[in-house]
Amino acid sequence: MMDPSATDRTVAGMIAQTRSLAGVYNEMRPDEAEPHPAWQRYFECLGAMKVEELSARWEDARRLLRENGVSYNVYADPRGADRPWQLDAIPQPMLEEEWQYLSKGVDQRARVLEALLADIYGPQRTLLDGIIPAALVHANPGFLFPLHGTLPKGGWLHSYACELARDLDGRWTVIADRTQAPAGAGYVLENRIAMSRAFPEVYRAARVRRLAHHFAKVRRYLQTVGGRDNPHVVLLTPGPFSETYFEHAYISRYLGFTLAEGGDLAVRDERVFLKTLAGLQQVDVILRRMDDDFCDPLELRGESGIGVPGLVQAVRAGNVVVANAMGSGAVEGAAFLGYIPELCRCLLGEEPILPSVESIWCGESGAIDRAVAAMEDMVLKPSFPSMRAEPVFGDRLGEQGRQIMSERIGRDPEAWTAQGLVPMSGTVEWSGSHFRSRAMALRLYACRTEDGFDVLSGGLARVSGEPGRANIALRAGGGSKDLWIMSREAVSEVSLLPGGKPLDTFRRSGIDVPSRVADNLFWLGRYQERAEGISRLSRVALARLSGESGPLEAGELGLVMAAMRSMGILGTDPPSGRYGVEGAEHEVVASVFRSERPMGLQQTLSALHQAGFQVRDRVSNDTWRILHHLGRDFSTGRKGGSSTVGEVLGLLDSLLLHLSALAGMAKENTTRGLGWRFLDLGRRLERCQFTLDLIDVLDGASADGRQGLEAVLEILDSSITYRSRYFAELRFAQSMDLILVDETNPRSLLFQMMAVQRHLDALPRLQDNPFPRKDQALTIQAVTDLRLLDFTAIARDPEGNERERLMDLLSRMRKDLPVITDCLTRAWLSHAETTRQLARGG
Amino acid sequence: MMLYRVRHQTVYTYEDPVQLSHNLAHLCPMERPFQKVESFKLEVEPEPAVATMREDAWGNRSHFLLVQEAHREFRIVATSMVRVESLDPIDPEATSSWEDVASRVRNRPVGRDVHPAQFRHASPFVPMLAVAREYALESFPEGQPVMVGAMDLMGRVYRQFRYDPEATTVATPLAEVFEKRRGVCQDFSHAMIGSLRSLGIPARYVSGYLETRPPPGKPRLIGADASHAWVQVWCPETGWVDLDPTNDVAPSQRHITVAIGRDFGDVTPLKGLLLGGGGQKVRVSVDVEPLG
Repeated sequence: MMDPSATDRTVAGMIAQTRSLAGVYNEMRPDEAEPHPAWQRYFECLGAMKVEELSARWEDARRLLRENGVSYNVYADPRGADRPWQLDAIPQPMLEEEWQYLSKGVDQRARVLEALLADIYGPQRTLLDGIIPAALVHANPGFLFPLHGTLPKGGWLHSYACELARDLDGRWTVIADRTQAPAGAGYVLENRIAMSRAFPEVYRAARVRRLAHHFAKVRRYLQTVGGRDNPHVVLLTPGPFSETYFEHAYISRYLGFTLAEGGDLAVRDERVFLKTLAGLQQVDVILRRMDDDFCDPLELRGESGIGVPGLVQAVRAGNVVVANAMGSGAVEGAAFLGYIPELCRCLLGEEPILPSVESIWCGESGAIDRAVAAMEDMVLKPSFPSMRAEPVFGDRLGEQGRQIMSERIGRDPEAWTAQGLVPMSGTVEWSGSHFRSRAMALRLYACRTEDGFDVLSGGLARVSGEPGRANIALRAGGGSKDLWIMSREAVSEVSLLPGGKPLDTFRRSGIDVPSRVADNLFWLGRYQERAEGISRLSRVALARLSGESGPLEAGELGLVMAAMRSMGILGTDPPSGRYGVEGAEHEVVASVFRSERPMGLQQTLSALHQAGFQVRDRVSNDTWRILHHLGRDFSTGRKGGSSTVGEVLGLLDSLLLHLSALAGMAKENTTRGLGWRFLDLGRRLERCQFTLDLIDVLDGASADGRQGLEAVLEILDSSITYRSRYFAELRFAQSMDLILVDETNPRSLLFQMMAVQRHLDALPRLQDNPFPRKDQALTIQAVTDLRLLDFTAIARDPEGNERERLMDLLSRMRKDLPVITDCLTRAWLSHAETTRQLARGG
Repeated sequence: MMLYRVRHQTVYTYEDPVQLSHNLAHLCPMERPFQKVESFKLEVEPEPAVATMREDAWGNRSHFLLVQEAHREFRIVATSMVRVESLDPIDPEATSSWEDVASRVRNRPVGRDVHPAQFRHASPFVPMLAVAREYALESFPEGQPVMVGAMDLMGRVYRQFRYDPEATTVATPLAEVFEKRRGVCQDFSHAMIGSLRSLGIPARYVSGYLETRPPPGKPRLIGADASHAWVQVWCPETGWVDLDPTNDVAPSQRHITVAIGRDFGDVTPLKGLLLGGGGQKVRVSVDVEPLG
């Protein structure tokens, strides 16, 4: 570790003083004397930056990453288990010459794996000629037999990732291939943005090669490979519970493709369609981030509930490009590594550029004896990734453990592959207070483009969580570094905006709002409004409790609490025992923190987060940041009853501020497309419901209709307006006019209903029927009834029949609201249809 | 030589309308050296929007049927005329020892040995089980000619497993079949395949039909009222040899082959996914009429 008394506080100086890991290649100083030229250049670019400076800038960058929601979901609970993404302040510098070599090697690797896939799913010459053992295909659960004989349009491998580590002599060695649906390119982009913002002058001086060229080429390619003009590309994700959902949302937005889950797609006539609000839209290219065996429950894994029935057939018919093609996961197993050099010679006629780690597939004759003899220096891995067994490190087993392992391999030798241990090189990492050495591996990416594979000039340097070699898996708590390829010449700027061919089509709306997205936006709107309603109710209750309470106000408090009970925010009955002002205070304060009530504040907030998380790709970063902050204070503050009324009021005020910010984003920063309409529909319908519920309680509890008016106006944010108009004491009829039918009041019921009516009229027609749908009819009815209301009669006789007629009307509307929601759900948002297997035949 | 007319009808009825169904059928009999398909007709109601036929990885003809109109009843009738010739019996004693067969397809088989080699591994319905190996070894002492062992194994499965359609479903794991020693043709075939593969001997699953109306004087075979299943064992001298553990016979003229795969999952007569439907009932009937 560094010496804190050292006088040299520059980053470069302190890195130089960091003790390196023993017995491995030292990235910074391979031969002890001079720094590696790449690091030398990085140090020069850093200049005399002090660690204090680095530390301060880095804290800012980390905050940005957190707020952008960059995460790796271990178990993907949207509010809890997302682990923030770990990025180190120090990049991994690399000179262009070295990268050129790696890039050629990675390109060759992608080509040989493509050729191998084409062979094993085609003529199988490699098997018939004995170049690879037949069992590598036959015993391989990743080999999808239904795809054998298929020539997928666009080829097999579109995206490939290569894992590399440096051995003791500094030679890069391939330790794994990823051909299924390689993850991580989105994190590379996010890392780059964070690094270039935190250290702009260093980044510029280092002439780091840009990433955007690569993605622009990939995007161009995906848009041409489908073969249709203006093709529709979607990114298929397993959904928000997938580990790398953040990345799926990020990449789809960055490239401008629609993010789709299996349920958003449907196969008709051997073509794939996206289910959108405007009907079915044909899909030409699927960027697949779902494991292939889950992709089609008809022909692949029958129990998959997330796939698209008929997708395999659509691929066979040549009507859709799936990238990577289903079946391409077959060649990423450890078992293949040892055969790659020979395959390079046989399939490409080239000598392998990059060495592979020594690998012994135990199914070969005699291999098991070699593996067992060398077990102490080997790691035993499942031969094929879908076997999902953990690797076993030979040197961590005792004599007896190795004996047991030998027997285990002996029972099913084909399932095991013994691999040499690459002593991963040591690099340096900033801990937040000092520098330390960590083992490192690289992940490089190659993607198919119009001119063959293109290797991303950057990548993910993955760093172990502990000092030694060990697990660099992201899942196991490791971190990452941005790989800087430092160019000799000035780097050219690029953006993703397409150049060249002029674009002469214009659009005023995105055509592809999937029904699922609309559903989530609808609920996002509802939960926002519900959270606001609950907060306002709670705030009014607490204000009554903390203020000087006269008798009238005490009665009001009872009314507000009755409303909270009937809405499920408080329990149905007051707690037994002594129950006075203190009891009420305790109950309301506690309700704000309690998480078990479905209609309570906490569950509403968590549903709000959930809905927001599900449409991560559709909301702007600013909106996401607000969502991220929303309600966080509640979990960090003191829990439950120990908070004072003042503290809770403060929390509620800040929550309402954030909710207003969200509402503002929706109003001022969102195009008026179908997605926005559903968001707003949710908000409006929820506000109608809340207003009607509130008036219902008021009506039941207050004989003359005047008690509680003050509170209702306050809850509906209309008391200032009232006072500015009437100056006098509260009257029932005038209050109702303001909160029910005043079209100029954005909180009035009529205002909401008119907005709902406009939205419903703007939705696409599903059937060729000129008459209003039921939801439209009910809304038209409500708007008309409200408009025809005449409050003069009620004002003259506030307790007479007119008031009763008004209340009957409101209670009918209250019953109609859920019907409107139902109609909407059935017509546009329905997921009720599920796929199921037929019963067994004969 | 026998000529058969086979009619295989499946009718699904649903409580609620089905909007859409994707189906994969293996109902078309395959060509074999001793089996010729004179004609084949597939009738589907409601009429499918898409009906395509393809030859799968094992040479089976599978049909992909997409029904896009709402329906409460789905009917699929496969009618075929099939000519089956009798087979000369093989000489089991003249086949290689089981150890030789196993080693021939292990490691790096090349050329013609690659094809049978794919049928020596575990498959979705037939995992590798220690109990299967134990069971198999009784029929395969050291040096046993592979077909002698296979016929012995077939006889033991026939005698020691009880035919009982109530005991198992399509989802019953093979381990449970070994435990209960009960089941139907699919279970017996999987048990025998698992036993053979546990020793490294290639074995595969055959889906097909049995003659349902035996000629006078001949007993009716077990399992004849539905589609049937049996086993094939491989050895270099004879190639694939059919064995029916449900009836303890080497099929000849009374069995009609439809499709071949690693296990039931590869050649399921009819499987599919549907939208809607609610509860469902299925009726299957198979009629195999000898025409002489």
